Amino acid sequence: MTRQTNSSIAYSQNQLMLLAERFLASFYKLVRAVGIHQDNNQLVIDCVKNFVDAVIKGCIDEDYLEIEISRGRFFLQNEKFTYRRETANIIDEMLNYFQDRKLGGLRFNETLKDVSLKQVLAFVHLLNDAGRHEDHLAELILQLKGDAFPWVKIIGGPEEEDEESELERKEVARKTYSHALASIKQVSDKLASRRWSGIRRLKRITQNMVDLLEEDESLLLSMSTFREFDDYTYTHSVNVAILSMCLGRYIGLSRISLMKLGICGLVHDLGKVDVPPEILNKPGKLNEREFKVMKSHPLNSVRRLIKMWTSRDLKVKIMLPAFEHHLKYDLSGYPRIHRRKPISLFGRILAIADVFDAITSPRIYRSTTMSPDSALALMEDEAGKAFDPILLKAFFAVIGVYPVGTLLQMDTGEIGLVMDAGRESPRDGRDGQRMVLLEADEKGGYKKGEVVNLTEIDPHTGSLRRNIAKSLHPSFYGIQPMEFLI
Amino acid sequence: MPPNKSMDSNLLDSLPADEELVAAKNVITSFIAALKNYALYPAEHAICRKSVTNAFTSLDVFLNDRYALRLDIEKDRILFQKEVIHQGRHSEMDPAFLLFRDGIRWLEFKKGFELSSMESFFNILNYHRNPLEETEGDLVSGLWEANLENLGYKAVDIYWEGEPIIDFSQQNVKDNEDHGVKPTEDEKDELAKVALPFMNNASRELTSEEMIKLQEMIHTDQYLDWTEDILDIVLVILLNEYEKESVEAELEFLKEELKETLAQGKFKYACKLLGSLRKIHRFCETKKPWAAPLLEHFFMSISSPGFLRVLLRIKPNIDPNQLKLFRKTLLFFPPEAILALGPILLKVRSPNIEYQIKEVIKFLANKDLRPLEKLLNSSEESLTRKLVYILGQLKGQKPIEVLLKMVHHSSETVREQALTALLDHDHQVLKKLFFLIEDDNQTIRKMMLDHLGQHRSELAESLILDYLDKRQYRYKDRKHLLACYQTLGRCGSTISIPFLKKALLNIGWLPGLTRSMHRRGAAFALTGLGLKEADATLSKASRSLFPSVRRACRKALETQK
Repeated sequence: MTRQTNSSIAYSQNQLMLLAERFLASFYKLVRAVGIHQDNNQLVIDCVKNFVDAVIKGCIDEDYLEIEISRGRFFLQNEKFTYRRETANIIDEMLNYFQDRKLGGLRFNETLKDVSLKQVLAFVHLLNDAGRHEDHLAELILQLKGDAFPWVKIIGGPEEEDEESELERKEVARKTYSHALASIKQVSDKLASRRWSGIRRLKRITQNMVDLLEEDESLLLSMSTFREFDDYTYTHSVNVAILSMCLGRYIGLSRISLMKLGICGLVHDLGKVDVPPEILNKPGKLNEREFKVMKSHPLNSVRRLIKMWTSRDLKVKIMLPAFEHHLKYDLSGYPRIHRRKPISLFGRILAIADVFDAITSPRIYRSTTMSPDSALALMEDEAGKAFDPILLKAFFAVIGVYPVGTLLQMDTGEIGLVMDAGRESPRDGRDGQRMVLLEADEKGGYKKGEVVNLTEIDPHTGSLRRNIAKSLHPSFYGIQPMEFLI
Repeated sequence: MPPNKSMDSNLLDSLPADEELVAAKNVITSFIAALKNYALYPAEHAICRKSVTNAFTSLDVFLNDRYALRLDIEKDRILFQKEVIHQGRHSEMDPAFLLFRDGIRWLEFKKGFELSSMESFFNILNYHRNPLEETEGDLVSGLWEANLENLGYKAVDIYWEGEPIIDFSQQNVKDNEDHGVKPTEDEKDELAKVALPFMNNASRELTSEEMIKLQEMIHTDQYLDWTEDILDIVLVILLNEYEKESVEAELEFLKEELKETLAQGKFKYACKLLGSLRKIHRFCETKKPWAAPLLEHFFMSISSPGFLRVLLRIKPNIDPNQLKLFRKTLLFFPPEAILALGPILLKVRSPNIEYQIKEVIKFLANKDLRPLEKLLNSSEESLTRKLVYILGQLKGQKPIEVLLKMVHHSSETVREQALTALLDHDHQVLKKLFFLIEDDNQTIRKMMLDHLGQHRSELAESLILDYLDKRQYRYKDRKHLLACYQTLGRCGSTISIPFLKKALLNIGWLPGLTRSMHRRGAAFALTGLGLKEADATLSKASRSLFPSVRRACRKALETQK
């Protein structure tokens, strides 16, 4: 049988990417040339020709060429555009170009081949201007939505992620958390039964967590809001891992370092298996003897970690923060040591994440649990004493004014959970925190309501549509934030 | 896909071209070959290098006018555009099996994939070929860490297959039981108040100075040496340890750390570590007797040749302070370490390090000579020579006994060295060595005679006098006997004169051919003695009626002049 060479498959896998690169490069050169030279410049004319040619060649199996951005990546004819070292700069430049203009994507019709040079240039001018001023952006949108340029259309809008892939990511996030929890439990059980344990699972799960962090930090942060009253130690470990990794990413740690930091978070409390449950779960304050036992857990964590099959480098890297996580920035705290050297970077990161998660988690020995924002305020008072002041500031920046999972009561009477940190996001240009409103259901619980922006302005009054009345702790209301956030 | 195409043509369209299929198959064939070679040879071996280059070339040919090669991985086969291009088997030598086992479901090599990445790819594949629980990662984590450019892959979570996903909504977020520690409304409000002024607080933002400090902090942290801290922590744990298995694990960890600190030349830490372990050992002997043998085992295991081979990794140009610490560190080792330290003497590149090791061996052998003795019996000549030298510097009777054995060594050089050591050592040992004046080796004979005659000595005189007078010599070489007489002249006293007089003047004392040789020897000896009585005897001899006596006398006096 003679096999025919096929257009779609062969194109989609191999040549499509080359065509896409060519198209993006020609688009990039065109917008740059138009920005620098006069319209009658030969370079500009050549760039238009190349651009039109690239568009026409790119109309594979369709009568149009579609370029779209999804989750920070270009898609050409629905195929994900992969980076090559040689083209990475151009792709980044064009991503910024699209994002500056809040463009989700463009569809060029093959009728472009019949369009005059003048009209193509008019379009490019409009596009370039749109990056300079909001009014120009509005003009661009207006013109493209109208009939001024029938051969080009705006598609997608500002990064409208399809619901399906968001659900898929949330499912991945749930699985990742669940697997992380199962893995640390398994390691802990093995070590508690005086056996050795491997680290393969922990490594793999933290790698998944790093991937998720790079893809959607808010989602990973949302996972850290999970609270499990009965199995606190393990959920706490996973949460500390997440919070540490988010902080680590913010300060620019490499992905390998983030993985190691994540493992540190997961294993830092392994020594608690040596603390008798009656002490660990004692309601109220611990007496001196009990507290002494409790204070031995960092040392016991190291003791457990010695029995892990890992390379020497990784073992040393994860042992030190486990030992240090209850040592304060000023070297007070426990275990008592006689050294002058500062606490390691991972140790200082872990200390912040550890305290934040601990004081925002409902515990049997405490009558109150702090809401995440209250916890931050309390921690701020300890900057320079218990915590590294710079890292603490970075932590504030990571988790925002109202950390993910904070339950807010608004002056409108509504209550809602903070969904993200609200830092400026290239995904949608947002700069305010989002909140999912909770509505009372018929069973006395809550159901998910509308997603709103905390900085949303009421067009009639010109002031904030909602003001925060107070922050509450979700656990008082039996609310599991993760259920509504993921 | 254009809508007017039939199902058949769709199917045909989805199949790759012959040429493309062949190119993809070639890639796989070259991959399999490379994987096999990596299993047989080290990565840097020429055969591995060649096979990885072949794999790279095949991929390059494929990617020449294509963007990427995507390979779908199934349990025992690899597919390219739904066509099976490799049917594998259940074996660690098979790429399909390996990749699928660790969870990889497809791999995509894109244009721009470089040769160095290809090398890393095979290194990872080979490293994770046989997964043990002890290994730190797997193929997927290896590829993740390598983060090879232009290589895409999809992996599934093999470790958690079938594991239930937590129903997050079903987990308790608060205490369902009444423990009597409930928050009051006031407490809730109090906490809520704290939060409000916190909002929009600009002081929470990092300043540019802080950003710089942060970057410096990250950079500095990468290069901080935490070895001492880690060692201190583990030593504290060890001191308070109550489980045998844990002590073993902790000591094993410390052993690896010690190895690294030695290799990196961090002798300060190594020295401190061993010093602390010695103290812990003493503590255990009285307080935790069950742990003492474990520490003893530790010290024995770090004394093994396998462990101490690490000393060869030490850079030769270490400064004098470090050398001192190096020596101090090794002094904590048990004498059994001599068995490993000895052979290192032959391999070590730095004379300074060699000297220190010799000093350490000396110190350890003074504690217990047996390991050195054992090593002497089993070493090659070049090492034995070095060890005999060390042995010669040791105090006590036992080293002398060993040296005395060494003078019977098959190697003449060793024997000479042993003799040198012994002769330097103790004059009383001469009696035991005296037989060597008849050694087959001329150098040894000469050494003995030189030593005997180096000064006046009753012992030397009596030994040599007995030897000559009682005619104990088996070695009747003329030169040798003359040398003995001359030696007697150097070490002797008036005690020798009656014998020498007899030998020189008494014509009937010795029958046969050696008579004249003895007469001449006696004349030499008397000349050497330089005593009045000797001179008188010589004077008398010079006037003898026998020409042979006079001749002997004359020759001796001429030689003396």
